[in-house]
Amino acid sequence: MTGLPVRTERLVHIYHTEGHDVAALSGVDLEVRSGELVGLLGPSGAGKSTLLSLLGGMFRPSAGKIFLGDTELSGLAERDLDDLRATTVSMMLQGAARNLVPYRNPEQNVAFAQRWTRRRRSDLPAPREVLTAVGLADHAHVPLTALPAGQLQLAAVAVALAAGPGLLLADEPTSQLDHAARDTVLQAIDRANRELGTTVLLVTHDPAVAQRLPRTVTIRDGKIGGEGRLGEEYAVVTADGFLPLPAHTLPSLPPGTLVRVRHVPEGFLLEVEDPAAGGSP
Amino acid sequence: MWAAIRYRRLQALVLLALSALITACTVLAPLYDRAMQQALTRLSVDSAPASATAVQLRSLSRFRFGVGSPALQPASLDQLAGLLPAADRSWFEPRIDGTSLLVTRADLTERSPVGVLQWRAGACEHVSWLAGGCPSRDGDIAVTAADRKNFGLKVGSTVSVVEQPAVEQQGTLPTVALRVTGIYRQTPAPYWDDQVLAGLSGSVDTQPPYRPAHDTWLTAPATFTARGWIDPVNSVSYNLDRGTADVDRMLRAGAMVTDIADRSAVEVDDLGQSINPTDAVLADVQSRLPEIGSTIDRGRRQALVTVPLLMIQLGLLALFVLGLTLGAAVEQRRPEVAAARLRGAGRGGGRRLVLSELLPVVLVGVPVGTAVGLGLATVARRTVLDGAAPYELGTGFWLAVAGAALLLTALTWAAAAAGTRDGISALLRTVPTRQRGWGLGAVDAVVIAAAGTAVLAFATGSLTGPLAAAAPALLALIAGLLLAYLIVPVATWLGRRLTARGAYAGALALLAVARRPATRRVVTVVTVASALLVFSTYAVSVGGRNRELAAERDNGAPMVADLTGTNVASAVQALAGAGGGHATPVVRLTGDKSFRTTLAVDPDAFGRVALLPDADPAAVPWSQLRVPTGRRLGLTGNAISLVVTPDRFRVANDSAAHLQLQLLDALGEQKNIDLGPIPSTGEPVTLRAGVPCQAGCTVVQFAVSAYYGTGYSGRLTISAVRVAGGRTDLPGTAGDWRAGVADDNRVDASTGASGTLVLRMSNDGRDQLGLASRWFPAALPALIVGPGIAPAGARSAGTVLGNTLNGGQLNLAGIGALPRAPAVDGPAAVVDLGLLQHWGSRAGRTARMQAWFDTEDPAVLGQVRTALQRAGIEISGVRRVSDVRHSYDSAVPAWSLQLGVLAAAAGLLLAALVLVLLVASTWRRRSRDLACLGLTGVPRRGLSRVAVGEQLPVVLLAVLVGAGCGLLGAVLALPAVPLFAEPRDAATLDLSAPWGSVLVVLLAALLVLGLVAWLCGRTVAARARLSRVREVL
Repeated sequence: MTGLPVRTERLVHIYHTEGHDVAALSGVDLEVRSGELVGLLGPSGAGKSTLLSLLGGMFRPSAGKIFLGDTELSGLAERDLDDLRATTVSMMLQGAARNLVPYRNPEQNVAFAQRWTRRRRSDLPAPREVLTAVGLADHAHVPLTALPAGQLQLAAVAVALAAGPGLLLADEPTSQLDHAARDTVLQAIDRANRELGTTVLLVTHDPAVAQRLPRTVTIRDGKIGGEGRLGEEYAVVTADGFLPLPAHTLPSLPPGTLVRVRHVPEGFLLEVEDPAAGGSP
Repeated sequence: MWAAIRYRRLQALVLLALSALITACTVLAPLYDRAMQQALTRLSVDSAPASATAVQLRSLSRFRFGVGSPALQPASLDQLAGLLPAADRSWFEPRIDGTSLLVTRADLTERSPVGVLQWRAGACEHVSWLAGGCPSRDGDIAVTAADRKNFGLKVGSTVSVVEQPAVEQQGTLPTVALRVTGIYRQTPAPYWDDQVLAGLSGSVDTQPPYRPAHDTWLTAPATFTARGWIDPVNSVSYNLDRGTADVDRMLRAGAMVTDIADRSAVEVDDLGQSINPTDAVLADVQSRLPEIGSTIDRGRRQALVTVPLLMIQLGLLALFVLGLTLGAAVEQRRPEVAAARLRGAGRGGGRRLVLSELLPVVLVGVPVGTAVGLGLATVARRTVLDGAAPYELGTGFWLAVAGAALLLTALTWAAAAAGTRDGISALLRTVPTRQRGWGLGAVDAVVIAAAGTAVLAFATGSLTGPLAAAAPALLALIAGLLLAYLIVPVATWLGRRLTARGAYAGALALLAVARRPATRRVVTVVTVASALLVFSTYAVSVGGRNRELAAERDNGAPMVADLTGTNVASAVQALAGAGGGHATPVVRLTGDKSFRTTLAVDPDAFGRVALLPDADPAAVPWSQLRVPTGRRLGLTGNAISLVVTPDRFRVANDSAAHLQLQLLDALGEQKNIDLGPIPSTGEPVTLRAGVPCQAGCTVVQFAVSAYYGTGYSGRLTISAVRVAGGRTDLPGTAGDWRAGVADDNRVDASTGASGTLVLRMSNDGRDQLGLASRWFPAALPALIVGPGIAPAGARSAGTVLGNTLNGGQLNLAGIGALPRAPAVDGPAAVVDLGLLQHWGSRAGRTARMQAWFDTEDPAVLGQVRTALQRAGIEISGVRRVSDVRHSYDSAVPAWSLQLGVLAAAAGLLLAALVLVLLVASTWRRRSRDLACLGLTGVPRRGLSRVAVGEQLPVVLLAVLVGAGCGLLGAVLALPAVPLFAEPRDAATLDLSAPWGSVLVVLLAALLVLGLVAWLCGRTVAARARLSRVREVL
């Protein structure tokens, strides 16, 4: 399976609740290449899970477009979204229990997940193989109620990878896990990314997890607030020419600050105008 | 699938139980309905006399169209038999042929007795022989023991008879000699089609020429075939084969008989001449099969309404509960459906996932429920229906099974479809969106409006009939829905107040009541179930009470025996002291419409024995029925002479006035003896006349007979009364006589010298007056039932007419009233039998002798039977109040009400299942919530109180409200719910509340449902362990 590339254009989503509306995403432009492993960071309520849900087709955006490969999601019927989820897109919800059928063991859960793919059983990996890939083969028949939190999460990962998806959307896959379990889960995801070529977007607010990911995208106030690659943090110019500044600069550059952008041989220099000095940097 | 079922096994059990219950109810309805129809048929047939279920075909008299018209050719036996369609003959036993005619004794001239001469095929096998044997040759006859006694007939006697055709013939009819070969006693058997051969011997016709009757004489067929009688009547009887009679056959049998009657009926033109085809077989058709068929059809149509109505209420409740259960089950599976949808299952896949778990469980309930329904039907057949219905599985049963399976499948599919159609994000939501505040949903508002309209229609009488049985459920539905919605704000308000006071357990419980949507469902279901239970109990109790009252009213006494014979004095004497005083004689007198039914009784014993549910026996003035009378003035002999001495006796217009003596002969017949003209001169005159008093007569009165309007006055002294060949108490003294008075006209008497009687008369001729013997009261005291008369002594008191024992008339004077006479429907009078016998002791055709018992003890009956037999009197039939009660219990209305009890019990079971189901579906969440409360420091005892308090008060309140709705619904509905197969006078029904039964069943409901709620709460609390807080699965 080749990893599915992901692209969003000016993605907006507004939640309508009784009394008021909440804009969860306010124009997100994101591009993820095929087979890439990307982490989505940001504070609570920034829009990370919303973005994941939109990419998974769980609901439709208020505005903007989503492309999974060549497929634009907004034009798809419910049935087509089901097909997409059955074949190429796999969501892993926050909290292992929500991904699992409580009265089935890990192997049965993987088989349950494979039941809905539109493929022949012979075209699918055996449930035991999937469990082996995530390191849970020894607990294939153990009741879920007897598994510790980390192994439950591995079971959830196995279920998410059961059909060999092109895109894995994981929401907080390491939350409430200890370090060892966290590492195990990340390794499983990483292995799937490398060996299966699955494009992976995972949501986390754990810095330790973020550090291990080759690329991170920070969501802030419903927009892309920045990106991290190989430990470096970058601001990302939006499609309409805006440049969100990194969060740590905001105390020094409050709203309304005048900044001069000068082109220097090394690139661009931002010169902050001191209003007290009448314009000198 | 099995893993899913095992994971939620309690829920699966509840689903299976509900499915089985719905199937059982669906299956039971047609089974019970059919069984009721068969039982009704069986009981109607078994309780009907033999003649009622037989088809008796009789040829018509050849003089049917009158003397001047051509004689009708009476139908032969084969022609009569041919009227019954060959295809239907298998319903009947082999035909019984017969021929009969009326004969009168030619060898007796003095009022020759008349009676029936009859041949009936097989008769000799159905009698017992007291002497001699069966008549086998032409001219042989067998007579009864009564005829032997009354007419001196014995084996070997010969009698000469002539035929007594319907139309008097010119000339002398030939005499036929008959020979007595046997003395028989009829053996009661269905063979006879209720024909009673004995009982008429010696009884005298009330119409001139007052001929005595003899009992039926049995003869051989050759007596009819060997000679040419003028107008014999051929008869063919087909007796129904009762063993094979079922409801379908009985419904067709009535139509078949009606068709026979139509085909064989006489059709005449305006001149009364027959216009039937010449080959038409004309006959008189006797059968009550059409009536029995109508009764069965009426019951069948009654059941078609009442049974479905009762079962539909239960069925709807069960469907509602099943819908709730399925909804809860589907809601529990939403996370799994979400998981499947995340993997690409789609809406259809999610639905199939849920169906694959729920539908097999629900469908397994179908064969289980079918078996339960069959079992219940079997139990009902054996207990409620007294085993009177055969085992049948008709089309209705199979349709019900298929229908139940289809309905359950559809309901499960609908629940699965409704619960899984949401999007994935909605499916994943664990806390459902809730409407802020509280209010009545649109559907609930429509239901309340519709139900309220129906209830109002019942209450105002706009809607009547068996549909009224739905009133309690509708009321309960309204109350339950309203209560369910009112509970939320009330519980919230109370909870907050308790919170402010620091009563946390109660506060938490009340707030939980307010916020859980399950509360509303529990309240509605429990309210409706309780209403059904109380209503059914109410209806059954009231029905039973009224059937008991009706049985007492209709039978009149615990046991009543009908007696043969006509000698009332003998019966009274035989019953005196027999059976330990448990029996008392009663003579029932019926006449034409101008008379009311009269019961002649021994007042003291009657007041003790008779059942009077509508009156206080102790308050009835029984003793006033006996009044003192003068002495009986008797006369025995065949001729009377007396000396009449007039004193200033004048007759207007010089007309003649005759002195008459009115007598009652030994048979109780009134004889007016004209003694001769009263002399107008002062000289004594001897008057003479013959009197038919060899056997003894009773003097009724002296009367003066003159032309109307011819006045007379003066005195007459009667003396020297002599009777040839006998004796007399005449003339008596003044105290023996009662003056005759009308306006200013008067006849009275005084005692003269030397035993003479002086009559003083003054009459303007407009009134017929006489000097009446005080042995006969002027009017017989009577307890009156129905349109009555003023009490005796009132100036304008009228009288009502009553009967004497032999059918004569007399005046009754009301001394009190009864709301209803025992065993009499309609106007009646109760008189003293002893006084009534002053007018004669021989019962005529309109009198029926009975013995009334204050016990049903067969030993007492046996003793009385023996005593009566010694007096030559037989008991021809016995009715017990328990039998009458049983006949009312064995009717569609009673059976339907009892089915209602079953439905109510099932409703209670449903309510309990709902409570269990809610625990089964939500215990994890509730336990977790309680565990969280435990984390905050609430002790275990407090958690238990919270858990129990969430349900128990709500359940108890709903039971009380439901009970109130059941009571009110019963008050509204019962007047329209049929309690009897035939409608009865509403004034005789006692619909008052049976508080005892209602309270018992209310307590039972409170106990059962309260216990279930308490146990459920305790179970949830017991599982509220702290470890449950961390549970993720």
